[in-house]
Amino acid sequence: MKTTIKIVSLIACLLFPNTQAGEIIVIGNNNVPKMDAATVSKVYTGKYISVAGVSVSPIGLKPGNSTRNRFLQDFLHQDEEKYDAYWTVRRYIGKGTPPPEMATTAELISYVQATPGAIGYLDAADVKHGISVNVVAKVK
Amino acid sequence: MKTVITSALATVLSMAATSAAADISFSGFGTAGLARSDQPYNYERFLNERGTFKRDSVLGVQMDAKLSEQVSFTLQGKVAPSIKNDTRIDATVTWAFLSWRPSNDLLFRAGRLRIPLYLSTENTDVGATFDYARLPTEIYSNSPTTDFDGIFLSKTWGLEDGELTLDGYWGSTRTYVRGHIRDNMSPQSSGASFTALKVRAQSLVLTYQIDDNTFRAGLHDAYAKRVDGQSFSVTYPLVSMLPGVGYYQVSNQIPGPGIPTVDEIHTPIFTIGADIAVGHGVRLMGEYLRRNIVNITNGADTQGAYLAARKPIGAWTPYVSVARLLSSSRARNLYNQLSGNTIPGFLPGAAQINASQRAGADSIAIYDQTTLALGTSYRLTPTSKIKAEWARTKIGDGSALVDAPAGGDSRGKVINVLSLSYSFVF
Repeated sequence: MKTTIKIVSLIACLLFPNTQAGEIIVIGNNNVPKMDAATVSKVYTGKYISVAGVSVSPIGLKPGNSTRNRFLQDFLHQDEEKYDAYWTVRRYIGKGTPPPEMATTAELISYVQATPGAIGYLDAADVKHGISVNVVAKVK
Repeated sequence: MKTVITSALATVLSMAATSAAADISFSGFGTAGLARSDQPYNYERFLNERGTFKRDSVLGVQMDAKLSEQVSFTLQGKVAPSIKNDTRIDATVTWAFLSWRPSNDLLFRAGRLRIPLYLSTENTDVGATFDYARLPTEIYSNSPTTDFDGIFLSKTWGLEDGELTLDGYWGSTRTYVRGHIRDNMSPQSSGASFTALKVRAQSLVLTYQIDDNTFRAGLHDAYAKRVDGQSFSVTYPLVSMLPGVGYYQVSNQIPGPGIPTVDEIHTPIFTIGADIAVGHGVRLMGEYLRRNIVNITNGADTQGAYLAARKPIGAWTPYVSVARLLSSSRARNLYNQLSGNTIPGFLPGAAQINASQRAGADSIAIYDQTTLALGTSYRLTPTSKIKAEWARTKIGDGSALVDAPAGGDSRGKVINVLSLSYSFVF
C-alpha cells in the first residue's frame, strides 16, 4: 500500500510539477483519471457521471468555505448564489441533487482516498507533508 | 398506479436502508400567496374581490434517494387546492420515479413525473426558482395536468457550442377538467362541475442550451376519454324552425337531428419557447403553444403566447409580461351564436330551448383574453423570495377562466389582480 501511495505521489508530482500552495486543485481516488477544468465543471453540475469510463462522485466543502468559493470561481465560473440557484432548479426539475459536502479538507481527503470514483477540491496548501493525493485537475 | 408507486417506494426504501451507498436527501418548497381582484365573480377558480390564498399557495416535500451513481429514486408530494373540487385541499403525489443513467448522455426514467410541456413545467410549483409572481396563465393553464405515469427518455449531445437534449415520453394520467354553468336550468344547477378524464399522451421535446440561454420546441400528442364512459359532443347542429328562426340542439332531449359525438378527443400540441439574455442584464422569456383539437368544435382549440422581460438589480428582479390566449374562430363563433340565440316565445318549447342555448355556450370552453403584468421579486435569502404583481386581464368574446355571473357573461370584462407571495425552499 505504501508503495502504491509513493507511486501515486510521484505521478502527481511529475504531472503537476508546479502545483503551488494557495492553488485550488481537484483530487481523486486512485481510480479516477486526469481531466480538464471543463470536465470538472460538468461533473460538479451533474452533467457528467463518468469520465473516461470511470464513474465519478463529486464531493464538496460546506457553503461559506473560502476554498469552495475559489473552486466555484476557478472551475465553474460561478459564485455561491448562482451555484445554489442552479442546483435548486436542477433538484426541482428532477435531475438530481448537489454533491455531498464535507466540513473539513481532512475529511474530504480521507473520503476521496477511501472511495472509488470520488473527487474533491482543496487548496494545495492544505495537503500536509507526507500525505499523497491523486491530483486529477487544476486550472491551467 | 397507486399500488405500483407504493410498491416502488417500499422497494426503494428497503434498498436504501440496506445499502451503505444509499444517499437520501429531503427537501421542501412552498408558497404562501395572497391574490385579490377588483371583481365580485371568480377568475382562475378562486380569485375575486374578497381575496384568496387558494390560487397561489402550495406546500411540497421531496425525497431524493441516490442508490448508485447510475440509479436514483425521486418522490415528491404536495398539498394544494384540489383539481377535482373547488373547496377541498388535497395531498397528492406529484413525482414518484426511478431514474437510470447508464452514461453521461442517456437518462431513462419510469414512474410519475412532469412532462416538459412548458419551459418551467417541472418547477411550476417551486416559486423560489423563478421571479414571476405567477407564470402566465395564458400558457400555463393549457393543460389541466402535466403529471403523467409512464416512461421517459432523455438523450443529450454535447455540441461545440452548447448542448442539445431530446426528451421523449409515453404515458397516461387521470385528471379533471372544470366547467362552469352560469344559469340554473333544471335539472342542471349553476356553478362549477368537474369531469374526470383519462388521458394518454406521447411527445418529443428538443432543448438547446448554450451558456444561460435555453431554446425549446415540443410536439405532444394527447388522447382524452371520459372516465364515466360518456362521449364528447362534436358540435351542436342548427335546427331551423322558421325562415331566420332556429336553435342549436345542445341536448338530445331537445328535438333535432341528434348531436354527433366522439368517444375520444385527439389533441396534438405544438410548443416553442426560449429564455435568453439580451444584454444589459435583461432576460427575455417567451413561449407559444398551439393546442389543436382536431375532431370536435366544442373544445378548447387554442393558441397562446407570452413574452416577458426581467432584469435583476441587486436583490430585486422587476419584470413585465404580455400574454394572450385565443380560441379558434369556429369555437368562438359557435359560442357567440349560442349565447345570443333566442326563439320567439310563442313557439312550442321556447322557454326550455332559450335557456338551453346559454347552457350550451357554457359547455364550450372558449378563451379570448390578454393580460399585461408588472411585478417584481425580492430575494430575501438564497432560498426565499417575496413577489408582488399587478396584472390587468382584458376579456374579448369570453373566457372559460371566468365564472361569469348568472344572467351575464364574461365578454368585454376587465379584471385587475394584485398578487403578493412568499416562496421558499429548504
